[in-house]
Amino acid sequence: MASKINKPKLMHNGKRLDGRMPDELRKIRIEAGVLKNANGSAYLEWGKNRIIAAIYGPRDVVPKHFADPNAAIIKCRYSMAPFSSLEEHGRAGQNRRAIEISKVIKEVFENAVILEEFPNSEIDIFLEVLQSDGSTRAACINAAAVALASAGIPMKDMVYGVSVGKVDGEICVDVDMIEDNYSEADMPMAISHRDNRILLLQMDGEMDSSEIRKGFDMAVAAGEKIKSLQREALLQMYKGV
Amino acid sequence: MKKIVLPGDEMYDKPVRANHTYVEGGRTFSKVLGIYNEEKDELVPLEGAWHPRVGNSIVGIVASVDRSTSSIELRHSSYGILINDRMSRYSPRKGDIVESVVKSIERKSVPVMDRVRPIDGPPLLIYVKPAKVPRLLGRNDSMVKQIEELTDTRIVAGLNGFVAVSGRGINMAVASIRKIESEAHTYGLTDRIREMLISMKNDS
Repeated sequence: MASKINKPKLMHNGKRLDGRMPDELRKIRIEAGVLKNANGSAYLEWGKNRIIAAIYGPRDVVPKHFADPNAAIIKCRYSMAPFSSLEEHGRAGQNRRAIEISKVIKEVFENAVILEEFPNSEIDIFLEVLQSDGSTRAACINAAAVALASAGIPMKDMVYGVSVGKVDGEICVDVDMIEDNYSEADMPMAISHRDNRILLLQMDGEMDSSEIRKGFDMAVAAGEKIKSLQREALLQMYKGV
Repeated sequence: MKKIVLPGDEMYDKPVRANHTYVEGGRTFSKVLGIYNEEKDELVPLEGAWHPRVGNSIVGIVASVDRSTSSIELRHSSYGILINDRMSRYSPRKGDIVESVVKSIERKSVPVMDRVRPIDGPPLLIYVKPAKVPRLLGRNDSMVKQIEELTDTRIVAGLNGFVAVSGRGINMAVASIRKIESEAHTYGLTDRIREMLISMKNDS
């Protein structure tokens, strides 16, 4: 496991272990509308991450006493498959980490979806991590945003997620699992497409304010590519228009 | 000229009241994934759940029958209420597939049903995405009438997404409904469905 004592060198000649530059994303592929029974769905490959997102709803709230008579509620279930990781993730159902990630992703989309249109309803976001390789919460946000749009859920804006880390003193975008385990800091973010509003900002470790600013700028720059891939995935569903 | 827009895409650089849009900072943005038709200046959502509206025709399943009310399943875990009318010729039984009309909306989201009639058959009940039902019906029900004629079936499509199909050529009718659902956004679909059904008839 990660510790400062056995920490390997993660940067070589300005490049990361997998050969990427600090501002380079891993290879991303997004496909929308992959599940027949869901109202909306998306499959995302982000490096070695493999994620399926499914959206159900708006539908009646169960149990009924959770219902808000003025707006819909969002329920989110982030789950790692038992075979998704080399570590303990997902082997005993929902753990504290999964519950936390479900909560923060729910809060991201509570600020993006126009909930007032569906009083007394719930919108379910199911996120299944089939294979994990770091930055899964950011990857899940990307998949969920595409799935929500493909379900026809009204939203103020699309959202993308991306993580930034401090690896061997260098600010890097999109940290993978090894970098995540040994980095000095990592900072997942969710940002809206149109006006770069920050909908999620978490951080582990230590970064000073200039590093956070640099990380944010790098995340926004990398976000341009993610935005175009999300858009492309949705347009692919409707070829021939 | 048509183009696909995503949630958050700018539609007008001034505040405009238009369906499926919202205004922020003096500009108008799309809130759905949809097709914007520049000639008609309208935004049509490509996907979306069904919102009950007064006057909507629906197809549902009688889920429970009580003394004074019955509940009708309109989509997965969503129900409408029917106030039992002793003077009505039809008294609902659990499991019946019925067609009905939304009479009113109670407590913002609970549809109250009216003019309930059972669908004879028993029909095959399939689910079509609600956003595709208008395409299945066609202009003045032209598409659904064409399928009924060519397949010798009766099709009742509810705006809630349930479609009841009964008659002889159910398999052909279902194949054409699935094709409409997957190609709803394309041009010339009525002709392609006609060609498909005619070739299927000739093959069989």
